[in-house]
Amino acid sequence: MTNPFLYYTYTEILYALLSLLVIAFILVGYSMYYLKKQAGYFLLLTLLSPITIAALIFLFSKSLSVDPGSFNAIAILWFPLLFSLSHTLYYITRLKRSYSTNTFEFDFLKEIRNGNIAIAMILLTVCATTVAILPTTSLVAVGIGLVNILITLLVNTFIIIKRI
Amino acid sequence: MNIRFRKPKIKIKSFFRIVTAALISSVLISTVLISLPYTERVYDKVRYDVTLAPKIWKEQYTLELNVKPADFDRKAKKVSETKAILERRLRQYGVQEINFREERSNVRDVAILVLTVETDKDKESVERLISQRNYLRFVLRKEGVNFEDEENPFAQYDPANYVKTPFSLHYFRQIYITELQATGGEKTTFSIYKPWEYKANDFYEYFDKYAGQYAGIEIDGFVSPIIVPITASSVTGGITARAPFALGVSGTKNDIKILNILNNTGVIPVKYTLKEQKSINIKEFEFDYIKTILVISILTTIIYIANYLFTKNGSLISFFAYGLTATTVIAGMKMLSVPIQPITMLYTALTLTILLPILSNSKAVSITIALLGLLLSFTGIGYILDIGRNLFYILTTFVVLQYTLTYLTNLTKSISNDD
Repeated sequence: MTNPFLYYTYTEILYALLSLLVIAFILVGYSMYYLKKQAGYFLLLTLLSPITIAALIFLFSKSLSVDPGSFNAIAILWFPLLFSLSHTLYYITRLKRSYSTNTFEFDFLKEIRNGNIAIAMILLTVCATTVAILPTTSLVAVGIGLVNILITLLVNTFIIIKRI
Repeated sequence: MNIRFRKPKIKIKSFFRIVTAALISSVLISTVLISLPYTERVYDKVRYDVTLAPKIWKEQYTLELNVKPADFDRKAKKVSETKAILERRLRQYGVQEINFREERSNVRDVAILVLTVETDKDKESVERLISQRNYLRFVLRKEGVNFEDEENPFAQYDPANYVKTPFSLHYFRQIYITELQATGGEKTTFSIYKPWEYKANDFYEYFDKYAGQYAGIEIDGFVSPIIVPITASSVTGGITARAPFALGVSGTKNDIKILNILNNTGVIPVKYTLKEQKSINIKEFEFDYIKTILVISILTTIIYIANYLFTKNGSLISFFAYGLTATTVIAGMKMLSVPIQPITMLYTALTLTILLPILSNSKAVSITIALLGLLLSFTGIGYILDIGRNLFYILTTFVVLQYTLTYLTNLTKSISNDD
């Protein structure tokens, strides 16, 4: 297992934690502002999936033969994290819009299902395209990052449907 | 024959609408044209070329730290302080990836530190930040030494010809580098030595005695001669108003930046030497501008169509805004000669492509991610700092262009209604 304290400096770990704190703050703030309820605390769970998977990949990076530093860190951690944040924020704003415009025909479950199918297809297209443009050394990390996004997508959908 | 002229009826409002629409359209078309590759083939008066950033390199440095016997009990602390200062120096210079590893040393007064860096910054400067301890101390000329000796021109640089003063880098809370007006009226760069408040009197009183005389600053066994500036200017009500203890510095902008970093990131507590350095091969990213733009454009179009078919979301305006954003950012970088690091841009493009179905449907999310990007460009570490900055610029342009295109559409509708 890779020891994060040997791999990263304390400053890097501190800055990573600060960034996560800011992202969590954005999520809670969004939820409080748009939905006027404290669902934000449950929405923090949407951040757990990308972080946990990225942490597991980091810990077992030697077995997976992936260097978790440099640009690979962007693919493995930041792609899923930014995706998870945007995905959750988007559905919060969609719900708010449907409340404020009183569109009773708005079918949230159908909307989220179709949205997820579109995103999954897009991820597969991105995955296929990266082979053409990315250096081979980065392909494994981007592939892992996209799988992380797919898992995050499923977990997020479950949390959003159950909690907001 | 009686000819009568009919006064043409000019609708001022309509006229201004047409002019505004024409202006906005021409600016947008120009940015698209500038962003295209091979612009020099069609237009030879001004070159709009992409400036590429230097290639990314990776190197491993082995440092041997010599711990004094008095510090044996605090060896780990001294090593940790050294690591922290070296990291601070490299971060301030913008080095993206820094990794430290301690190697076991069997000798009690020696610690081995292996430092690996990966960056696109100037290699010589990075190596100076790593290898130079920069232990600064003020020194005074020894009596009886002939500093004007033509047979020994190096006498003025030799620390053996100087007497050490107690004033080392520890004495100063900051060495502030700024441009000031010199006596001749021209602007010159000076470093202003600002001692800690509780030590300031000792420092100024000590050097007041030598004002106008030659002294020196010793850094790592090499002395740079200086003339001690006159700092005590006037005493009013018992308080001495002083001119700053300012010494002129010369060099390029980069040299001054390095000097600033070396002087203001702390004092490395141990002597050390660079024992070994070896380069580590990194796979070079071959960047084909046209191929990449084509692939990303096709990918974006497919994503837009797929997103529309499945969700019935995503307007034509946001699609055009997305395309125009790419061209505007490329045109901006070409015109301002901002160096592009291809792999960083590619990862930014991938991030945006993954987020495209969400960003194209929600301005609020686009603005939030842009602000997060701005924050990461200040607080981020490693390559996320560069990607955060790119996200901020690109998403801000995207939101502005969405509003601009909506405005343009409404404007053209109003012009049609005027007719």
